[in-house]
Amino acid sequence: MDVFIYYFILIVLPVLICGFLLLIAILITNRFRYDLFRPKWEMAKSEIDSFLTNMIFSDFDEAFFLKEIEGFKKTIPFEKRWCKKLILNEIIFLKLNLKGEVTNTFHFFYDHFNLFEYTKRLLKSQFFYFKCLGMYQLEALEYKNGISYITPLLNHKNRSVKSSAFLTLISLEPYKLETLINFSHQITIAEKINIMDILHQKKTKMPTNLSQWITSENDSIIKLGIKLMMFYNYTNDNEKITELIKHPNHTVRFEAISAVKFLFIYEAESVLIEQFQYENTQNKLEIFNTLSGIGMMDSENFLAQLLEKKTDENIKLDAVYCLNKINSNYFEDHFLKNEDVRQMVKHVKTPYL
Amino acid sequence: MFDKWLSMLKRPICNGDEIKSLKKSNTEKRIAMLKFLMDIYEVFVGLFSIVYILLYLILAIFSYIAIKKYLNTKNFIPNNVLVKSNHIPGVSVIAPAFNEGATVVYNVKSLLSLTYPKYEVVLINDGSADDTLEKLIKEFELVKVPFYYEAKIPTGPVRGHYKSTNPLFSKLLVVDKVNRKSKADASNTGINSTKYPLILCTDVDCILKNDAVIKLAKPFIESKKRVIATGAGIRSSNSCEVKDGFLVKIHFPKGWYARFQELEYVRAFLFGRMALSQINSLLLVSGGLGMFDKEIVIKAGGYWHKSLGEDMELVIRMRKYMYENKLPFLIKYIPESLCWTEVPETKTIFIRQRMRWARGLIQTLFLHRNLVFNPKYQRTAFFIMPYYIVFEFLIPIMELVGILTTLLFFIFYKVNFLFFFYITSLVYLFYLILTIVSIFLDDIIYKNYANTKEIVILVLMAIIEPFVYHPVNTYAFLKGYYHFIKQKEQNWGNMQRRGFSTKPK
Repeated sequence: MDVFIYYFILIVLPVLICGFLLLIAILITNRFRYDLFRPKWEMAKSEIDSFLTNMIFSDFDEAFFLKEIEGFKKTIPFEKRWCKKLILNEIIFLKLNLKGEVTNTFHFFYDHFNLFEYTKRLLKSQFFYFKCLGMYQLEALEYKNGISYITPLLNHKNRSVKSSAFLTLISLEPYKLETLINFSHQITIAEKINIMDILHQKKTKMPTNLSQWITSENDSIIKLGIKLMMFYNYTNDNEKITELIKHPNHTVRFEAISAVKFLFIYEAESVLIEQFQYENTQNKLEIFNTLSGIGMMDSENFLAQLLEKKTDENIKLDAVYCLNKINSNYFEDHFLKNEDVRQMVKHVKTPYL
Repeated sequence: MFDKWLSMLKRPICNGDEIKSLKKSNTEKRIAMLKFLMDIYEVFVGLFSIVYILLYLILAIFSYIAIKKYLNTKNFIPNNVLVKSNHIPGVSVIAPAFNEGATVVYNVKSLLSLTYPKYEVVLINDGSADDTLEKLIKEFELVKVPFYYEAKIPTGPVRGHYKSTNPLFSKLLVVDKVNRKSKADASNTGINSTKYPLILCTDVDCILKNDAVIKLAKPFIESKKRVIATGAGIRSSNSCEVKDGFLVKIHFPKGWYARFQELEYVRAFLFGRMALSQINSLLLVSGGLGMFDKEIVIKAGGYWHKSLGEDMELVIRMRKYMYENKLPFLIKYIPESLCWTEVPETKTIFIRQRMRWARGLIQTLFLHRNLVFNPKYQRTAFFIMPYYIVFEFLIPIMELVGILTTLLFFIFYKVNFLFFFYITSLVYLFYLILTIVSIFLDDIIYKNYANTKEIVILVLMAIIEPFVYHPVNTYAFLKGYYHFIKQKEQNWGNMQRRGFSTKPK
């Protein structure tokens, strides 16, 4: 034991001392270098900002632009990777924040600063996050020449790379949206948000095979399909949407219930009422939300019965909201002696709540 | 055997020499026994230290993986996409306020200017004796509304709900309630009054980073498994420049205690919590900044109003609920500082705060002792609870015992001082390396400090921390345990906030 401790101390202690001193040295040196580097970075950023702004708002003249770019490269440490990264980030920032014709010159800068080479290096990197970053750059700049570098990544084994490749592709080539139906994975909420954002941004045309989406075996494709139908105001498949209110997956049912309101599928009223008792709280609340938009007499009676019954307190207030929206005069001659409901009515009718 | 005892009884009374030799042999036996106990203690301490060091090394690796994973994937949904989206869950920000009249208006304005497309601010005036409510009514044009209040979690009486008549402040809901000497009760009242599925619990004096809600909500949106809570790093705002409730410039704290706590926070958040987050073993999401799934909070019964460590206690009950209902879940931590809060600057207030934490810890662990080694609660039963008991609760006690036994060794034994020095240095160096790595990670990723000088100060603080700050912390914890055992009256105490150095307009 003593021998073990002796050697332990002999080896471990010096290693720890060296490790500690080395760490401190690295920490302080690293920070010191950063403190020295920071002013250079800020100066370069300021120069890049003013250069890009000047150029973007000047009339496009290829020869003049090329000459200016070459001249500008000499005023900044262009060969440094951080500088290229900085220029690229500034171009992306401007691209995302400016609209109109001025944005046409961004690809010119991207090409002539050799930034596509930088992006290609990222796309070829063995690290998945660099690949994703590269794809983000192409997507943000709407750089279609990069599509051939993305297509192979559609079958990448890493889920994030595959997903990013798909999102970039539908962003650059909107008609590719139709191929999403063949996507075998479950689409996450994050991906859905990204896809919806692309559709909003690009004003993409509706996929021609949208009807098939809501009959897919992949539940997440059905949900996205319903969302797209809402987005495009697609009313040709109202019957199928109504059928989906009884789908075995409760999240699909949720989307279908939302779609009924959004697409004004009045025929679904009775199905919603019938389905209500089998739903979880979230879907029940969504049914109220939908009925408040499409509900008529049947809904009125159904909600009134619910309020009379010993219904779950958590949803009663929403039922009152719904009933009030269907018929704002309803409570003037109903539930006058039900104190609990009266209080809910007061809450619902208060404009500030 | 019986004969032997009988012969002993029949033996004549000892003479003087016999007594002396008996005494001598008794003393020798005692010494031998004490030596034996000391040997056992030595082995125990040795093993404990090795396990402790190994565990922290493993946690360091987990922490690194968690931070890397976060940084690599954080741009998958850019914040600007989230901000525009209609498909994100709404968030209710809950902030209890008690006698905050001096700063409440600025703090609410700061909360109202967070970046998130769908959120509300629920401020609970917890029976303030000052003009908190009057100031809110005046500044935000509030009127009392007939709010239908459902006590999904039982709380103290609610006096009323207030909404603004000005559409600019439509996100604000003020709940006025009777004070029950419990922040937990105030938070529960807020939870009962919220309308969105996610709740962000904070303190009204906390300054949140503008994108704090987005960053905390992201794991709820991105994760395939159900996320029930998220938390993020908290920093000291003591010397920061604050204008009208908004953080203008981050400054390194000036006071000794604030600096030590800064160091402690960096280490705890970047090392401990990130590692525990990676293995889904978080038991604590700070009361200062934590986002929760409202449905699970309500089903778990909300905050326990008698708890002194209500944030940890709630997380344990949420975990219990998920296990009991066989629902897979995650609790995630974000390796970014999203909240700045004033930390105690004087020894007295610091000790008071740590005593409360200690009482909260012991109370919570005692309350949920039935979880330990109960197979139903999986890793909470076999890793998290034992970890908290051994490496959080027992550490101050072990330290006290360590000091006492060291003194005993010095007095009664020939101590190998060189060996003692080596071993102490080993532990000290290990601690230093962990702390320096935390500072390093923090500086590499976030550059929270202004310059090299501040980093050097932080390193120096780390070097003296075990001799200056740590003993006070241990003392406060032990005192807290003692008060818990003695059942002294629980009290939140008064933080006596200094307020911020406000930038001139």
